[in-house]
Amino acid sequence: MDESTKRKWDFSSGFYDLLAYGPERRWAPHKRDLFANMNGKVLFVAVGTGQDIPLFPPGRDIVGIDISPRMLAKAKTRAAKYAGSLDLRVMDIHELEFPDHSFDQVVTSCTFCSVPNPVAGLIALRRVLKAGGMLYMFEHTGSRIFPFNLMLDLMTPLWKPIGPEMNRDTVANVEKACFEIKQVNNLYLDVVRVIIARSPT
Amino acid sequence: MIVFVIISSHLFVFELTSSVVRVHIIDLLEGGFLERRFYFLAGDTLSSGITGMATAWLASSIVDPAWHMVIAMFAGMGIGMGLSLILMPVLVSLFGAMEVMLPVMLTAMVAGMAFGMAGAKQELTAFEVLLGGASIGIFVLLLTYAADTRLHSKSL
Repeated sequence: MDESTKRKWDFSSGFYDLLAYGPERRWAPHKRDLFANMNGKVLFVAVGTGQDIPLFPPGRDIVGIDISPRMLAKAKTRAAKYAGSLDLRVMDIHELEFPDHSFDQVVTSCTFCSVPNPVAGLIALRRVLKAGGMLYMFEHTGSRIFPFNLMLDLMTPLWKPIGPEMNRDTVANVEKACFEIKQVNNLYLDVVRVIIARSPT
Repeated sequence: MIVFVIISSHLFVFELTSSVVRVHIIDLLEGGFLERRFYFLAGDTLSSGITGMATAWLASSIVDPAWHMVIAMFAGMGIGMGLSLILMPVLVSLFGAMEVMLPVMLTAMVAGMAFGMAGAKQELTAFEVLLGGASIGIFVLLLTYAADTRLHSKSL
């Protein structure tokens, strides 16, 4: 378990819901559309305080993980209201305790801005995904466009101690982890994006 | 003077964004705003407007005509960036993450530079400063909306 990352998100759990009020409401329609694709046995990575749980379609079979026990403690209230199977576990993405090829789908939501080693994390996800299984990601990434890339580069060192990195090339990381990218949709500039990829068969 | 500051800073922002994305305000007229919810449209406008006004006021208050223009420009930029970081947690928690952060930070940078330089040139009235700051904020926001309209749903 990556103790420094765990400590960071445990600390952030105290004010996370307050800070995420605006972003979560803004992104809710897009996330709801993405989560509508959930099917089969689903791994949801980085549940956090469970802000995304009300957006899950009902009746699905989902395992949710997060590195922070304090975040997950807050998520439990929301999970209890979910009309389907939702099992929450404390787990580090770099040390997934699931057998190989045990999930039909993996879904992430603002996850890979924070995973310390994103390519290793994605490779770990590919291991637990069935061959041909789908990876659905709602992520904010760095920008290729000036001056937005400059702004994100400037903000990254300031936000990193308590939250995410702003300038990651998550699409490139998905490719590096040998996923087959099916679709990348820009939702805000080239920064907030939906990435859909498939585990190689 | 204030008209020169406003026009030149608007041209500067336009040049910044249009150089790569080839953004045109016409994109907004053709594509419309992608964000249609009043709460967020009002929030975006408020965020950029307030940041522009606050930055312009602070930069022109700190910089005085004795300062060298180049030093005043960089000081104004620093003041803007610092102020945007203070305002950001409140604005983000109310209205959105990247959709607020990017225009707010760009507004602060440009308004800080413009009013740092203007403050080094001559004294400005409070009305000029607030109007100029707000107009920079709104212009930056419109250009960001235009860039968003152009980039929406496009894969790179």
